[in-house]
Amino acid sequence: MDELQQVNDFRASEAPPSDTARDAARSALAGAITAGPGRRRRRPRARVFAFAAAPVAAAVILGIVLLGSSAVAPSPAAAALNRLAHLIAAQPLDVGPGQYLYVDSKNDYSSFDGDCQIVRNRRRQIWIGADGSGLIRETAGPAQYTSPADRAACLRDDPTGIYQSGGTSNDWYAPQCLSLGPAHGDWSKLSTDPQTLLQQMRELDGGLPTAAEDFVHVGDFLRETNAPPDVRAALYQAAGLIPGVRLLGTVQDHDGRPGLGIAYDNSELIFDSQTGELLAEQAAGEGGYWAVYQPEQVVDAPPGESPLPLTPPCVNGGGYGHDVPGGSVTNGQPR
Amino acid sequence: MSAHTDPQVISRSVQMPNAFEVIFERHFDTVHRYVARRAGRQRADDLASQTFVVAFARRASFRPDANDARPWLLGIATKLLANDRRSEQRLLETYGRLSGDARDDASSASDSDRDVADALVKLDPAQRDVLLLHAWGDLSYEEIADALEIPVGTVRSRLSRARASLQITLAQTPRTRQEAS
Repeated sequence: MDELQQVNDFRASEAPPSDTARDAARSALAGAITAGPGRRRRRPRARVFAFAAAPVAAAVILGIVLLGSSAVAPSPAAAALNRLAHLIAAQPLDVGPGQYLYVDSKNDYSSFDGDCQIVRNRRRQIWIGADGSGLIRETAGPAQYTSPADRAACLRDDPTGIYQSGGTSNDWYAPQCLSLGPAHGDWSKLSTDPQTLLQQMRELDGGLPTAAEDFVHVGDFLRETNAPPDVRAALYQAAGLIPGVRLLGTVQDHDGRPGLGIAYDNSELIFDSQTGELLAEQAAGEGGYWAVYQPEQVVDAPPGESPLPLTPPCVNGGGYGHDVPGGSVTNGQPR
Repeated sequence: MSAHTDPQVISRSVQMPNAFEVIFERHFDTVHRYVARRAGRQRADDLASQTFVVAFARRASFRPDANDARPWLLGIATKLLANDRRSEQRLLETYGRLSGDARDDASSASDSDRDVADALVKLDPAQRDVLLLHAWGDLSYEEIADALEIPVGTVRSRLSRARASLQITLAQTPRTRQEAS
């Protein structure tokens, strides 16, 4: 037996991770995803399904969707979403060559780092060019702690408090690093049939095949994208097909703006009842959060200039991050 | 499960972060097993979890021309292990002692395990990283080079030296001497 074979045999019978370890790691990753810079919120998971069960669960849920759409009249939520779909379908948001989609939002996304949980208000501005270049600028306020014990844990992990102090970061991206939507912004690949779109969102956005996830997907596909009017309308109609989605009526967002609230469990999407645009997202209770959006705009350039060349472009959306004072530059140039 | 390749999923996750969960479902068990073999199950629960949190944070810098996320993830796991060498050291030493204590009536596999543990613990850590990414991570030279961000030539020389050291150490063990005789 050669030495490599002996090494191969050593501890070769190591068992797979326990379900407890796998679930804990999933939760840690979900926490990191939730704490990420302002893309989405996730509901805490009480239970995680094995992936092998996914096709069955998907079939069951889609079965309910199909049955629901053909056998009963639209729910109040579906009716309201159909009306919003009609409004939004009349508002194209074309980002032409050399132009940028600009979205300005505020949120209170929390960050987790070990035992340290930080809640802080953030302003997030994103400029996404038609070529996939752009800038993400985030301005965070100082950390707020959920309890004295939490504060102590944070200071233990980060005695200087650098991580917990506020500030502004500017992260620049070369062409093809960002995208205006899923499938590298190629919306033509998405169906305008709401039921088909629900399934496509599952395939593109990942996550579990559950109604709760479907509701999250709708928010993901609306936020900081230039979904064309027909796809955007189909997204609204798809939300109306999700079992358990309900109409809240007129509610207020964190800035006190009134809008039409649609909810799944305690997660709410709030729409401008005049234009149909996504106005805000929020959730009450433990793990609560809020985010408010200004109307999306098309502009000619992001502010300022990147401190490093935005060349070469990323490949397949991937590139190399280079740290610069006050932020980073991502391009296709290896470090 | 998504039919998309790892680079496609990771690319999408830059703007749609929860797409990264697909990477977790695909590779968590592999990463956990690799770390568990090196540092024990208890540490593996933490380090494998950390690997995916770190990978998620660095997903924008995933090499777009890579075929598979496994080398990248195992590279991150290896670097996390490097910050925690004592766990691996302790495991190898303990393993050697436990097998040694039971050597008189244990199976030949226990002897071999003790010998390998003794040989691994004596290896230069950088050589051990390359050796175990190759042996347990099932990575090619090129993939190890990507994972550890070192030249392929360095991978070859470290692996070669690691194997030479192992040969010498194992040749000095009672078990191997017995086999040779």
